[in-house]
Order: sequence, then structure tokens, then C-alpha cells
Amino acid sequence: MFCIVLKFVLCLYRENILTMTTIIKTNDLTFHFHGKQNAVNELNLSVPEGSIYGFLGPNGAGKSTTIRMLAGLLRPASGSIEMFDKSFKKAKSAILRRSAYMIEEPTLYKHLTGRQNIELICKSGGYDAKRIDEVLDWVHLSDDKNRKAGNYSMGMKQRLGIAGALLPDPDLFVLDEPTNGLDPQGMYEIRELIVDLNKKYGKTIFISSHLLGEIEKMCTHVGIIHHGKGIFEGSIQELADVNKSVKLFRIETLQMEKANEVLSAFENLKKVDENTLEVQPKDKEQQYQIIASLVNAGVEFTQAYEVKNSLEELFIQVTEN
Amino acid sequence: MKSIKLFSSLVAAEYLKTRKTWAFWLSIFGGLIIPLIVFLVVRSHPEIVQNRMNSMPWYMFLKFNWQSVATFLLPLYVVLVTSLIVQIEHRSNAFKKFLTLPHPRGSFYLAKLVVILYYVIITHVIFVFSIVVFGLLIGNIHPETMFLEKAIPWEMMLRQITKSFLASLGIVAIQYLLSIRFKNFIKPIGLGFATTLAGSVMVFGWEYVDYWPWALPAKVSPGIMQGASSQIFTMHEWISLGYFGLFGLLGILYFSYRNIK
Ligand SMILES: Nc1ncnc2c1ncn2[C@@H]1O[C@H](COP(=O)(O)OP(=O)(O)O)[C@@H](O)[C@H]1O
Ligand SMILES: [Mg+2]
Repeated sequence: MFCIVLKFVLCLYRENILTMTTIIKTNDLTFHFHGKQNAVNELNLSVPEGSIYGFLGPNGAGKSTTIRMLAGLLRPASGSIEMFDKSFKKAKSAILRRSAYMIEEPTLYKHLTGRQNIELICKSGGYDAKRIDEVLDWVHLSDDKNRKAGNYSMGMKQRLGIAGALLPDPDLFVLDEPTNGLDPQGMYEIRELIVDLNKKYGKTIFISSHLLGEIEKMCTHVGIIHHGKGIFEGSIQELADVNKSVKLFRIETLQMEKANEVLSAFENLKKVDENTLEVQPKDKEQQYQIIASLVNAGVEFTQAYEVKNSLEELFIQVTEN
Repeated sequence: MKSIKLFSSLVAAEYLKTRKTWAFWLSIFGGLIIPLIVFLVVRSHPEIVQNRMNSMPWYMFLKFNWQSVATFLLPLYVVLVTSLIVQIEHRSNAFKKFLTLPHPRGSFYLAKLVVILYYVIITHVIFVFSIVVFGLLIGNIHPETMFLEKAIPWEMMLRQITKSFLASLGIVAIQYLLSIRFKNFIKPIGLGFATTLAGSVMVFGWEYVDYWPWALPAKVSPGIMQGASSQIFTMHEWISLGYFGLFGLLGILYFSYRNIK
């Protein structure tokens, strides 16, 4: 009997079920703005502890709406949220105590200095005032802390927002497009901060972006949302694997019409430009068939080649349909 | 105990947000400007504060000042200061940040309300102090007005600002709710301006004007019309408090349950 239990536990252990807890879990989360179709549609997310989770989707996909629900700013139309293994509805303030949010444009009192802005959050949250200068130092704003926040550059504003999020020393950071509108240097700085928080301090980070490149550079897990629906979720490795399994095959031809007709039987036929067609062969066998049918039909083609699909292309492809 | 400490630090934060903003300067200069103008008028026409017995220059002066503000400027000031204070949050994208801090939303609502009331009180206090200072000045320039001889009616003035403050509470609660509801601050201000104007016209005759929140400060101003009394709690203060309670409650419920888009 004991043996069976032990085996079962070992099995769970191997499956990572016991070691990995989920920090955010949404069940069929749905929201719609008044008189509009669903901005978030039956979304299921699960964000593992200790991950940097990239929440990816084009503009208007529903990222900010989702995050506002995770912050308790919007009430879901249906579905539910669990965070830290508690129901958000029931344990809102306990959950908020362990989380910090930065949603869309940073909150900024332009007429106050950077330090005063942090002081406000500190006072309002009832946090330790000693941390104010610590967090400002953390985001490299010590030298500018007494300047008016209204005169900060975009990057400094975002970093000030992050400083505010750091104040309570939360277990979870939820950041909505923190690199939006930044130059590459600014993006780099934010990324460094985020990776540090995760690697050095073990914080779980949920970060949204519409740029796959950003997510690729720092995230361990990815969730893709499009038109409010979740269309992919997994580790960054799994995303790369999906990517490998999709092959693109291109044909350059002088007889577009004819080639188009011959290849219409194949899946996902697409015109790339005036004399290039693209198909998605399942395997080498099908790739051969494509060439063979073109030859048999006497279509003049100048090239047939495989395209290495970058994640970027995959993302565009996935979100275009 | 802990929650009292937390609440006072919330209020301190709300106050810090308003320092040196329009609301701040409006409250300071709003209390000063009318006594200054009345002073300039009385300086050139001192006879208007002298009645036959020459016994009540302070009362006359106070009355002139109060009549100049009560029907229109005071309600308008309350409308403006409330909207401006809430506007700071809209403009700074602040609700979405502060409402993710782990407190009940209502505590933020109340902390800000305390700050709004603080400014309304400050304006009243500055108003009466300016009246005293300018009264003494006139007494110096025109000794025959007897400002220096007669005792300054502190008690009466204290009673008067209390009445006026109480009569403003209904406007505060209504405008506070409107200002939270509308991101564009032209809306609550425009509405408050229109209702105040309507009130100042209706004072001359509409039978339900006693129930029009924006007309209540005028109703309690000294000697301006029948019904003003030296008692602190008359019908009008109670009506204002009623509106304050009703719209305060509505506001806190709305604020607690609304979606922050
Ligand atoms: N305040 C709002 N009122 C009405 N519709 C909104 C509002 N905010 C967002 N939407 C709509 O909801 C959808 C999702 O928006 P959003 O969550 O902001 O997307 P993302 O953050 O991924 O760019 C969009 O179609 C957008 O037009
Ligand atoms: Mg967004």
C-alpha cells in the first residue's frame, strides 16, 4: 500500500505537478466592453511560479483588459481567476498584497518629483519609507529623483513605474507593455531589471507585449492571445518546437496562374509576391509531390526552396488568420 | 488603531497630490479675493458700513462680503475645487494604480473626500481672516467707521463659516460623484456651473429652491433673505447634510463597484 502511494508521489514529482505551483490561473475568463464583442474570450492562462511569462498579442488583442481583470479593476463577465491558489473574488486583498501592477501608461503625477511620486505610493500602501530610496536606486533614478516627473523621458517614466511596483517587495509583478514606446537602450534597461528580479530574487513576472522579439529575449513561458482568445501557451522551448514543425515551402514561378491552379490542392497556399507561392507541406514526401505535380503539369518554375520560419513569422502567421 | 494610522497616511498622500496644484491656489486666493474687492469698495465709500447707530460696522462688512460670494462664487468654488482635485487622478492615470493597492476602495474615496473638505474649510477660514484684516485696515484709514473700537465678532463669524461649510456639503458630495464618473472635467464643472447659475436665479422665487443643493450656501448667508438664522442647524444645513449623506453613499458604492477601464 505504502509502495503504491510512494510510486504515485514519485510519478507526480516527475510530472512536475508537486514542485511547480501555479501563480495565476484563469478559467474561461471573459469580458466585453459595453456594446462590443468579447474583448477577452474564454481565456485560460496558467502562469507557473518563478517564470517570466510573456503575454503576447497584437494591439487590441485583449492583453490590457485581461491584466485589468487580474488587478481587480474590471470584473469578469464570466469565468474566474485564481492567484496564489486562492480565488480572486474571495481573497482579493490577500492577493493584491502579494502582487504589484503596472498597467499601460505609467501612473505619474507630473507636478511632483520622481521621489514624491514614490512617496505617495509608499504612504498609500502603508509600506516602509526606507524602501523609497532603495527602489529609486534600483531603477537608476537616484540622480533624477528630485526632478519633476513630468520632465522625465519615456524610459525614466517606465522605470519610475517599476520602482513603484517594487516598493512592497511583492512575489508577483504584472507589467503591461513596460517597454512600449522606448528606444532600444530603454528597452534593454527594462529587460535587465526584469531578468534580475526573476533570477536574483525569484520573482514571478507576467509581462505583456505585442513584440515577439521582446518576449523571446527574456521569457521562459509564453501565452499568445488574439482577438481575446488564447491560441498558444507553453514554455519558450515548446513554442520553438511548434515553430520547427511548421515548414514553409516556396516556389518561384514565371507562370503564376498555372502554378496556382496546380497547387490549389495543397494546404495553406498563399501568394507571397508576384511570382512566389508558399505552401505548408506536412513532410518531405509532400514536398516531393509539390515539385512533381508542377513538373508534370509543365509549369515553369525557377526555384523551390524551404523557408526557415522565424518565430516572428510564425507569430504574424498565427495572428493573421 | 492600525487602520486609523493607515487612513491618516492615505489622507496625507491625497493631500500631497494636491499641493501647489490649481485646487491649492484656488483655495488660497479664492478666500482672499472677495474681501479684497469689498475692501477696495468700502475704502472709497466708507459710509456703506456705517448705519445710523454706527454700532455694527463688522456686521455690515461681513454681510457685504458674504452676500458677494454666497449665491454664486462660493458654490462655484466648491464645484471647481472638487473637480480639480479629482481631475488630478484622471490626468495622472492614477486610479488604476492606487486601486491595486491592498485596501478597500472606499478608503481611497474617503481619504480624498477628507482632502476636499479640508480645502473647503481652508477657504472659509482664509475668507474670515481676510475680512478681519481688511476690516482693521479700513478702521485705520477711516477711524469714523469704528472698526477699531468695536469688538471683532469672532463667535458670529465662526458660526457663519460653520453654517456655510455645512451648506456646501451637499454640493461637494454631488460634484465628487460626477467628477469621478466623468474623466473629462469640463462635464462636472459645466454641469455644476449651470446648476449654480440656475440656483442663483431661482433664489428669487422658486418655491423648491430650499431643496436645490447649489442654492443652499446662499440660503444660510447672514441677513441676505428671510430664513437665515444665527442658529447653526437650521433646515438648510440639514438638507445639505441629507444630500451629503445620500450622494456620499452613492459615490462610495459607485466607486467601490465600478469597472476601471
Ligand atoms: N475602455 C474601453 N472601452 C471600450 N472598448 C475598449 C476599451 N479598452 C479596450 N477596448 C477594446 O477591447 C479590445 C481589447 O483591448 P486591449 O485589452 O486594450 O488590447 P491590448 O492591450 O492587447 O492592446 C479592443 O478591441 C479595444 O478596442
Ligand atoms: Mg494594451
